[in-house]
Amino acid sequence: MEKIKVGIYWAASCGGCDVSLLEIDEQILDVAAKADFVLWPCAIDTKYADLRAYKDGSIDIVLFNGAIRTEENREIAKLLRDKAKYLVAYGSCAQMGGVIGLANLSSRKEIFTTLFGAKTHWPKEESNQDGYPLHLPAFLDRLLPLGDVVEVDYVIPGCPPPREMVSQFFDALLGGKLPEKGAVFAAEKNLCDECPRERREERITRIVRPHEIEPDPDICLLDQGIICMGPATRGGCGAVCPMANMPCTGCAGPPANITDQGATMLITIASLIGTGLEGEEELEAEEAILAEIDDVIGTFYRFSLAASIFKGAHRE
Amino acid sequence: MAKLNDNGFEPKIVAFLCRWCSYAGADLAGVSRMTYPANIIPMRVNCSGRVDAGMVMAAFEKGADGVLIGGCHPGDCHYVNGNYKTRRRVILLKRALAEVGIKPQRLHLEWISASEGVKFQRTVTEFTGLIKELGPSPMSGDGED
Amino acid sequence: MSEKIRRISIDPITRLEGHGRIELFLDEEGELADAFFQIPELRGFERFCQGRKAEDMPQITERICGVCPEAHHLASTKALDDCFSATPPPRARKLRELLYNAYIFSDHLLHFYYLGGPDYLVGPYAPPQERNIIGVIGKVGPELGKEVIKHRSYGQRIIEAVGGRSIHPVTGLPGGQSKAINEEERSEIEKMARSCVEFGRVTLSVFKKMFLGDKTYQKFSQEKAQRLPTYYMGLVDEDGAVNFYDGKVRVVAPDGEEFALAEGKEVLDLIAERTEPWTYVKIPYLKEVGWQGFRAGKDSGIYRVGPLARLNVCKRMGTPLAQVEYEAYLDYFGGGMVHATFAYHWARIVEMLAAAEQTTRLVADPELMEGALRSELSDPGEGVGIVEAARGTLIHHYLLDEKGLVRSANLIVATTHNIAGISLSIKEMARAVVHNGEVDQGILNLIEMSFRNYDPCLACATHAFPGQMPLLVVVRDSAGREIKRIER
Repeated sequence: MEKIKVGIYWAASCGGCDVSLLEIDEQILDVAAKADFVLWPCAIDTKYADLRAYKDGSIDIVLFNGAIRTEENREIAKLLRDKAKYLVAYGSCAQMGGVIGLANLSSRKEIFTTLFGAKTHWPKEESNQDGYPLHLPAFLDRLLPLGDVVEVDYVIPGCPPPREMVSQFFDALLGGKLPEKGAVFAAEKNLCDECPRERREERITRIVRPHEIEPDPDICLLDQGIICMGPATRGGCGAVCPMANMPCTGCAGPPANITDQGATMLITIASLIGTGLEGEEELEAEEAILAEIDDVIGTFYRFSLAASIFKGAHRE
Repeated sequence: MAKLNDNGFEPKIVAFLCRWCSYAGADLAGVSRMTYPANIIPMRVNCSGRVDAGMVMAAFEKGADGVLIGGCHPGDCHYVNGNYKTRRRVILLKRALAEVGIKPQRLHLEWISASEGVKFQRTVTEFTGLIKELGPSPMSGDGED
Repeated sequence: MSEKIRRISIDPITRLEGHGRIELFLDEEGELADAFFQIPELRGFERFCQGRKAEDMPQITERICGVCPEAHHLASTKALDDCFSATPPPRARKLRELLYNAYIFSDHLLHFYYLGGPDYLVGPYAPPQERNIIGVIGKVGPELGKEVIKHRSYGQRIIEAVGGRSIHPVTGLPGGQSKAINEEERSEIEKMARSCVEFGRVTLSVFKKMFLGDKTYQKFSQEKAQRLPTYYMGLVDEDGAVNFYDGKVRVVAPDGEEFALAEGKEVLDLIAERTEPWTYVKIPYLKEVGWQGFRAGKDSGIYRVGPLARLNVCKRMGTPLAQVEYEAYLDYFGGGMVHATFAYHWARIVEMLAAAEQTTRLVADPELMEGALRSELSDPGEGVGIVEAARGTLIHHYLLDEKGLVRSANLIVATTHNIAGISLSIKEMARAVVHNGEVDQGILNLIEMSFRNYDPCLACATHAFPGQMPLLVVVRDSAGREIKRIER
């Protein structure tokens, strides 16, 4: 039986998604027996010249992780769309920009000034060193999720996708049982559905930051005043962060049918904040609780800013 | 009738108005022949609490220079506490707008009852004036990003 | 560029973490004229960390690298300890060390078998399709192959038990840890750790057989051109032993003489950085010695970090089995300083064994299982956290405002320190193996093998922020001639 051709590529990425493919431990040997890795810069010596020579549609499936940050990322995304039958947005950055999408709060000029100082020190797309011409890919003005550049067939969310989901995906792939296009490999419901903490569903009467208290390990973190993105985040990861006494930060993106993860969390918190009573007399106290929330964008849009309605900053 | 500004900028303002109070107040202003700037695009919602954060953001994303939300006075909400939620939402939304570089004054919440045609007129007139001064929203395509 | 100059691109470089490209320029005789190591990636963490909540930094900065997230997580957590003037209680500290040593073991294992190792385990001239972990398992056999997978997974499970997740852990907080481990977990970890020590020894014998037994390796580990007499930097504890988690930063000169011993902010004062227009990474050097171009020597500020460096700056390993291996390693290279770049691979697995041994020690420590997890915090301020990532010294430096939000973040990340060394090694290797314009995939792979020694992490490398440090700017005209030099 002919082997399935699998390509794995990283754009603006930390490499965690590539490592996550190894978390299936021995199952990788089953994969290697039935699949050929025709592209995987982290682990295999295929070069761009080899990739360009592949026929269009000849790679059965490409797992693309990382966001579109440079011109090279964009170019390779388009190239892979041509070369692949199916293209998967693998991980938070490919799906919705990821943490690095927070860079969209700054302009390219602001980023380069912070990193390199005065403009004379900035790296350049075209330079000449001792007579040798050298090229760097352009740093785009805005970071983009993969889906903003090419059509995506499947999404495997997470930062990185959890072992269970990766394993399920490979089972489906090798068994010839891939779901319909557009499928997301994660739970349909939000994280609260699988989190074992006890939900008291009280009003949030104070906001505290994780290092300010030692939370009760059994009670919902939101009930204790710690902002947990669970209500606005897809489940399927086993709620490992709340199990480690830390709040969910939203890495798996929004549940089905929600487009803007941060907006959903914002209204959730707004609804839950309260003194326990309701009325005009409570407005001042409510304002005081809301004032305890710091870094609204960094909290509610930690992973999803680039895919949000605003996509980033729009300075006046 | 809209007055032409010095710089000729005519803001687009989306106004989410709750049907029980503010929208009725707007109707009263109309029936009473009160004049106010024609810059608003009124959208009737059942409750100001229906306006979720995504709607406000989408309005700005589609080019609104300002967003106005009209709701019932505290204690008068037809659905009891919808307007309290709106108020808390708007506080957080303004923070989000400021963090992405959009002036939070571009979002405004006002309690306007069904009998307050005059208040409706005044609110729209003042808000339109404010937005004119602020200039086009950076997302409207007329401003620089 | 003259028409007679031929350009060859290795694009992308592979079997490492991150994006990179090597540009070779050959002259009319087909000899190497010049070689450039370019990093075409950049994400800008130092900028978008501004305005974030301090306690989010361990989880944000660890997304700099998914191969070494634990390093960033802990450097960040330590920086926060400093920012809040908090000393974590012994239990929290030991939990962190336990996680950290398991990480070093796992990361070094990954490099040896999956990234740099295949060049020798399968062979430097093997077809590209075989020079990878699948080829390694094919060569060493499924039994050893399964042991490789199993022990990497042991390292990951230990990280998961302590850190909450195996990739991008979550438990680091200023002044402590968010959770402990229970007795069942501890007992499991103990079994796994012992097996890892055994596997460390197995790996060393694989190394001795397949690396030391390989002619290419023998050649390049002895060749003068592949020996770079640079300065070296690494953390040592108060006994002068290698310590991945904590200690003082020691810098030694090429002849072994101590150049500096520093901690905290003083370490930042040792380092200056320069930019080049053709790469997104900045190039650090020792400020006091100065930048003398891409060359090694006592008068050049270029220094190296990582396993080779740590085994040069330390006086001993911290654990017995690793100490024996360390002595054998020093012996092979003639005693004294080891400048042979190809020695990195050996130093790396000596450390892998040391990390496994340290894990067995920590997991048996009764202080791990009782006591407070968190300590009192003072008002937020400025702080520095330094650890040894697998690839080298990692420094996180934060300035927080009174609300505990990040005003600025300054990161000097392991592989960044090695950029100059890597560039030098690539050029030396290209010069050695490219002749008469003959270039095939085996020769190009040899050039890549020269950087694989360093186990580079290039997503990490493009995160260095000079802060107020001086910069050197060299202005050239279109013909490449230097017309101005500005130092600030």
